[in-house]
Amino acid sequence: MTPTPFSRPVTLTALALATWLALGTPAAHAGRACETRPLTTQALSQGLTLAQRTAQALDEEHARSGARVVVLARAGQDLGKYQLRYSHLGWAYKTAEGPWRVLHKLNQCGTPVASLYRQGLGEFFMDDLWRPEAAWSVPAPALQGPLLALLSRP
Amino acid sequence: MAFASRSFFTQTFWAACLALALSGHPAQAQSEASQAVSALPVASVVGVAGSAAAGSAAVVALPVALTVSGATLVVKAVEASARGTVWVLERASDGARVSVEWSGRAAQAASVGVGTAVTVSVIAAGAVLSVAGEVLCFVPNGLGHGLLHHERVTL
Repeated sequence: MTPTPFSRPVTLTALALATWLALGTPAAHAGRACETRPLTTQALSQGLTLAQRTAQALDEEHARSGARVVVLARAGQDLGKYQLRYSHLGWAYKTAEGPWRVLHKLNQCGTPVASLYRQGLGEFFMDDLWRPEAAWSVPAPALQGPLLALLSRP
Repeated sequence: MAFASRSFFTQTFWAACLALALSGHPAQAQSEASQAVSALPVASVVGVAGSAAAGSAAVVALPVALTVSGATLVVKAVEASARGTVWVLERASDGARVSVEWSGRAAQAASVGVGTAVTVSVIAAGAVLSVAGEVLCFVPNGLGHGLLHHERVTL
């Protein structure tokens, strides 16, 4: 089956499991290979195109629902054997200037050391995708303001 | 399956997720390492000739030399700059020129000399410059600039 380039539907179970995997599994830090491979035009184009389409879709979401904060998922590795479609989550928010930014936690490659990063959608989707696909879920309206304030904090 | 404006999650769930995500959870609990986290080779246009965007420091539309996919540019000059390296590129078909500045690794910059053939691939966010199939750098347009940001928030 050809993967869809962009996907909104995420079931509660899938997202909850993905969140659990992202935040709670002790062995997960070993998940991705750390070898350095030359960046190909195809990979870069694919990641940035997905980022651009995601930005457009999130802007439409913002226009439709007013959402300025979403949980954004990417498929950075194949977790099919765990019945999971997405491997990583970040908190994406729309800045006052317009572009979306993602706050997420990343391991330094090959180590158990992690840091929080604020990145653009381009960097978020450039990280060696397994499948060129994104999904998001929108927190309740009452949480939008407090989340935005927290995520925007320098 | 529409779900966009309705949350599947309770406030408690979100609060727990946010707390876990932002409060220094043990590093080994993270799902993904990142090798490309700061490796995106972004270049910027520093001077243009024959450009639709001449005079624009923050380029919204790329110079004409970077607007045709599959075009071959030839490196005419390599110059050191305060931030890195400036490549002066000329389109083989019509002589349109563009200069791009790149502050990436010196080793990669050293591999590009006068006479090197560079291929242009145009995407919505800008232009990808490659040599023999490997990415040399990405030159974002206005849309692409909005997609790019890299900041380490915590050590």
